[in-house]
Amino acid sequence: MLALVRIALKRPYTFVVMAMLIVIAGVLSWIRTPTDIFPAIRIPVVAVVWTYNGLPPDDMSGRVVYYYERAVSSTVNDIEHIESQSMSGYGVVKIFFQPTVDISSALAQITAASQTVLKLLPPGITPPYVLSYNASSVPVIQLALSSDSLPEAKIFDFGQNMIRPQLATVAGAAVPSPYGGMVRQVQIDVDQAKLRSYGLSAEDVVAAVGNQDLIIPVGTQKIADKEYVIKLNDSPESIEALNNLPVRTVEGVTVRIGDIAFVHDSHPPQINMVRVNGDNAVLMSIIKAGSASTLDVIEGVKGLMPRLREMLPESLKLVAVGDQAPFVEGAVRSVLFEGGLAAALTGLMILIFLGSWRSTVIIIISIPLAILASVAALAGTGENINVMTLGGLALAVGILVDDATVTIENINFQLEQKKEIEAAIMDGARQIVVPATVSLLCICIVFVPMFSLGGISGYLFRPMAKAVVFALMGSYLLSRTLVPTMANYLLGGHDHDSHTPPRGFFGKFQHGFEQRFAAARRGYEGMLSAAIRSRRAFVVIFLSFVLASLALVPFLGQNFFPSVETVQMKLHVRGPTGLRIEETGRLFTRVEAAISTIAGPGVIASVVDNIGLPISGINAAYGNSGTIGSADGDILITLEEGQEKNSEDLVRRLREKLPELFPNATFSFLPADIVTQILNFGLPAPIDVQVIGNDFEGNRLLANKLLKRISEVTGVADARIQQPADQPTINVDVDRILASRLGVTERDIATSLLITLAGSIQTNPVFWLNPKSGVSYPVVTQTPQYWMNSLEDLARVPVSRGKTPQILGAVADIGRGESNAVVSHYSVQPVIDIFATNSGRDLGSVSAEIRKIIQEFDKARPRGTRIVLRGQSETMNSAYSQLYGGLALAVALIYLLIVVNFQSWLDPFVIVAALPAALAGVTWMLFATHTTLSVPALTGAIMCMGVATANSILVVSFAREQLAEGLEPFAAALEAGVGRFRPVLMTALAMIIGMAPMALSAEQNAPLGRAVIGGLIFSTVATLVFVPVLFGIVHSRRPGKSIEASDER
Amino acid sequence: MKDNIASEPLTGAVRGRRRGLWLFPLAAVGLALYLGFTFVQRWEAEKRLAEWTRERAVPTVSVISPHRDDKPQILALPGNIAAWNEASIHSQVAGYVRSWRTDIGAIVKKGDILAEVDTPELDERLAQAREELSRAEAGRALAGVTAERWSALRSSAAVSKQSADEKSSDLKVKQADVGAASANLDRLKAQKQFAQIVAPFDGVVTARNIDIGSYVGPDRAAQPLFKVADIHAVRVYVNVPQTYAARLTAGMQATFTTPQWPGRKFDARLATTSNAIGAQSGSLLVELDAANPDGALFPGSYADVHFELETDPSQLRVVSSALSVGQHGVRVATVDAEGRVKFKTVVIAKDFGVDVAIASGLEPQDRIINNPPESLADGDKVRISGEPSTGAAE
Repeated sequence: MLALVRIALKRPYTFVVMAMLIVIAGVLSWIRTPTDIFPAIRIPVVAVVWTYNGLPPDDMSGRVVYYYERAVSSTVNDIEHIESQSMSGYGVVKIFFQPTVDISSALAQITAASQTVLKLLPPGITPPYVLSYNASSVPVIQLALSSDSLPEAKIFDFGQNMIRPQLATVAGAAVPSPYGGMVRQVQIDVDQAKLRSYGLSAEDVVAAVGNQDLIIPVGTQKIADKEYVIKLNDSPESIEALNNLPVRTVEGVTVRIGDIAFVHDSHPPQINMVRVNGDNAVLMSIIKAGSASTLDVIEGVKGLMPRLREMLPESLKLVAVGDQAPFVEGAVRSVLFEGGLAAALTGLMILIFLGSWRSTVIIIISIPLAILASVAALAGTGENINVMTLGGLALAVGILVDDATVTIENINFQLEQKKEIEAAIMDGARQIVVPATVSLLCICIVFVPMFSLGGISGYLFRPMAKAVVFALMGSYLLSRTLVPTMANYLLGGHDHDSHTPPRGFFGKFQHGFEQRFAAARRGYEGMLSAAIRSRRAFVVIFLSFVLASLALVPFLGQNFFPSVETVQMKLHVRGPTGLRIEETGRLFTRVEAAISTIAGPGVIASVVDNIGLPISGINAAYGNSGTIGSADGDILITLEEGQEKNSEDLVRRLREKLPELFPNATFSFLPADIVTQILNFGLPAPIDVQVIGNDFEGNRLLANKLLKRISEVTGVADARIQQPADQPTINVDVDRILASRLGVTERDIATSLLITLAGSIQTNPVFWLNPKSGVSYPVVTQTPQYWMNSLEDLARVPVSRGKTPQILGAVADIGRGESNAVVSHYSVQPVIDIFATNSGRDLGSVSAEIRKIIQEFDKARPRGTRIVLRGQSETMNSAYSQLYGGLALAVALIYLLIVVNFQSWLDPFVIVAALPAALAGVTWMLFATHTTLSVPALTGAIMCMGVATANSILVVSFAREQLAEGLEPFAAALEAGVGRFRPVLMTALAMIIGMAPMALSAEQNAPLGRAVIGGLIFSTVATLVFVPVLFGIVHSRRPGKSIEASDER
Repeated sequence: MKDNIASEPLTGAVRGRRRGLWLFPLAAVGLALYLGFTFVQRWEAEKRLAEWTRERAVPTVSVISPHRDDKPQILALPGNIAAWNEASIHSQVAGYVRSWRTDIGAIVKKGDILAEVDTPELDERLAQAREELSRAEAGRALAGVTAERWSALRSSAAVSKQSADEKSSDLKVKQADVGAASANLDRLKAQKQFAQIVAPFDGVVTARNIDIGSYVGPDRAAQPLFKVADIHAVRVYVNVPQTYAARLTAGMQATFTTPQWPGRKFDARLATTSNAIGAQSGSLLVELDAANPDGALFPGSYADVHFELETDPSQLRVVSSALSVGQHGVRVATVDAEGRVKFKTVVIAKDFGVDVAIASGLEPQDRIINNPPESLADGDKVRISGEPSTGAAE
């Protein structure tokens, strides 16, 4: 280390160049590194989406998903767990991996497994979509397409076939199919009455289309010297021509498709509806995938928009909604602002304390350099710039100041001893090298537990810890290199006689400040000696106060992350199970009207509805709002700018009023902000109580009882069961013997019903190529839903083919039943999820009570059933226990480090004994500001431990020196306290001032700032009063033993 | 510097202690006050929150009452329309069509000539018969004169009685010959009349299978020349699946529609049933009569027949969204006077799709929860919404 200082003095340009290099590298990495809200969360998830039109959830679960899950769980490595949702027509299997997985080989295995099971699955099923994404893949911007003249199917077509391929060129953007609108397809509307009048069934129509609209290459023929391509009119040129395809010829009369059906350019029955401020629209959600930056993705999409507009017809409106860029930019900007403000404030503080602009300049230059070095190092280790790393840098500013200040102060002190500048620098450096190294190690050690954090919190906090540690290392290095170089230039030859009368306004001010400070120090001295005099009482009172303060901890409450106020709200509305989409749409209209009445005028800026299951299964995989069918959907409410303060109150009022107004619907508020969405990891609520097991009926009863108890827990809101089992169902029980006597088989009936109700596309895929646009559209035979609207219509569906005509009612009994609207699995076992949110109370207390309830129900559970609490509350618990464990480990490590430093077992104990005071301070500060414990607050507490330790080391080592010089223990303690009053106070003040802007903000890191401030106030008192007193007591008990000075200062 | 520190502590300590004397209790009291205040505040907030949560935990439901309705159940089945009377007209005589007078769609009266058939063979035979008659008549005339003469001669006993009797009986034979020849002629004449094809009753010509020059004959297997249908009224034949067979009785009213008259409803009366289930079709053939004053109904066309099956008007009905069907059978959730849930098991008499008729298990004054939340159990407390609720959309 000292060699470095020597180089700095002998070859000064070396470190000037190094500083320039740091600036270049730092600025370059700052520009090049993606900016985002959070660090990349590399927990890989693979979603596998199976599609089979019209297959009910129970069958999807039993006939498709279970097979696949079993295959995957036995052939794919490194699986953490498997979740699946079987909905009507879709099966979404999500495979969560261990963070160590090699995702490409896992993907290969997953794809292979889906090919293997394909033959075991229902006929006509296509291989699934396989999507790979991670926890931070959330929608970052949405494009809304609307038009007052174009039909919805056309709008969807533009979105799907024109815009989507263009958007895919934006790096890092994943674009699922559009929401809302309708898929364009050729629809053969079969008229049941006409079918009956010709004695035909729907299957005849399908067969006719299959026989007449073909894609069969016929080859070429060589005639004379040419080879001719033979072009057969095997596919009609226009959709209208399909109407003329013959179905059957009887008695010389040909029945054409047009006689019994109507072929037209249309869309399948609507299952998804999107409305932007009440107008039907198509919504394209752009999801950030991979490690791209949110801002880059949004910028790329916005940059494409003018070109997209040119490609689209004039009447099509394209607008961006739900843009997360302002949120991300705002968060980053405010952290930057806080950091800048902190640097400015601490600079000012240094100026006041040191009273020398030259010294201040040196410090103020070294701070940004340390930060730039950290940025470069972060970029070098693959981290992006985000709120967490910036918060870490802001946190570091206070300590950085300290490092440089101590160096400068020491040089100044040496200069005041009338030493030559170079000698002063060398001596100063020599004196502080050990304490500075120890304090650097102390602060780094407290961040070690951060690196062992698992799960999401690990991904979030490791970069933050890295940022702090890199900045500290940078600053440590700079204070040995650049600071001496600059000191050599700036401080040499400068007048260091502090007894000259003050000049100018600032000089006078500084002089006055010094006088006040001296008075304060005298006051402190009096206090310390008073404490020493009545030491027993003081130590007892202090310790008991500290311990009593810790008793407040349970009253703080625990959250994983502090909630943030945003202008966006997401309300999930679920109508009675099985509600048809048109009715759900109407329900939503009324709910929207009620919301705007409850909110009052001028509060709501825009409302976007997304009702029903998306048209493509890919969207179902990305979705995280728990929509399971046509009866539910989301309302995304954006409040006017500046209304975010009222959002909590609005949510409370909506929770009171809406269930009253719409008793048949259930309402739940989902996280709309990107942060909570990421933390929830695909779940729609922070609390997820799972009832896992095979006893379906028993579990259902148990879940219902659990739900009742959970919804009564204080502070629980929106408790609900995710999987309704009361999907209205019509049971068609065919009398097989009767049917067989009449020449009808179950297969005939199934096929007829499939074609009539679900359409033919699944079992008989036929496509029609539009020769003009080159797009192939599916040709689907189906009875329009509006023609099949009563039980009688169902009973009259013709079920025989070519024989004596029969109708369904003649051979089957039609009755009522209920079935599952969605079937979920967790680790290949059926699961019922009870979702709930905490409202007005912290997540920790709520989940603790729920855990108690779960324990109570443990006796009542059916055999083989497990009740498990999952979701954010569980992630939080594991993060807390890891952090607490880490904290204890950090204390132990610090203790051992100081033992090495002091070569004593007792002095480190003195220092460690002062640490609870820091925790007490954190507790009091959080308690007084009504801030709950959270991971940022705990980070703050950890930070405090580091700084408190570093400060205490300063005091104790000074006291040991005095003791070694032969002073009485208490005199040495007093001397040390007074002597170290200034640097300790400066360090603490620098941190406190640096954290003040963050603590006062309403951002996610506010608890961190508050915790640091509270902790430092208390720990400074402990360092300055409690530590000397305890030191005195400890050493006065062992008077015989002499202490060898172990450091030079 | 050390001197300073050594000399100053005394004053500082004195000041510090003195200040500390009144500062500490004050701080302690202040702290206690703050703690007390904030704890009371927090406790109250928590109590309010607990109350709020408990209130939210009580589900709000909408209730409906069972209603009565005599709206009939509709049974819709495919049927075929047949004419009231329909005749296939064949030619009695063999020959070639000389002319036809009515085409399909012509409205004919009974006896109107539809077509004429050229019968050259018959004509020949007719001429022959006529000749034969003349010959017989001539023979009879000669025999009459002869007999008269012989009779006169006999009276003068110029001839023997034998001879005279022979002559008179010869006259009788000849007379019979004339009768026979005349009858033959008449027969052929009558046959000739069949060369004119006439309408058997008032109706419409629904088919014409001949053209001029076609050879026709009395072959039963051949295509009929014409079809004439009486469509002043029509008969509608419906194959009723066995399941519904018992519920259809003669005299029932029904309506039907046909594809060619969208939106128009025709009335019909169930005339009779075959009283037997067809082995092939597995259904009961039912005949309905319907008037056809404007001739809009064409025989042979397809009809969508709607039977109105009477329902018991005294039965209670509830909308089907109020039912919960599970392993306990069909149940409805009712709310008692104290606002507590009571599940009642009901028996469905008939399902009308939108609502169901309840055979038993329900009282008219029951307050039934519409769209009952699945998690509801007996004895749960619920809040009844102030909003009137009628259908599934609510």
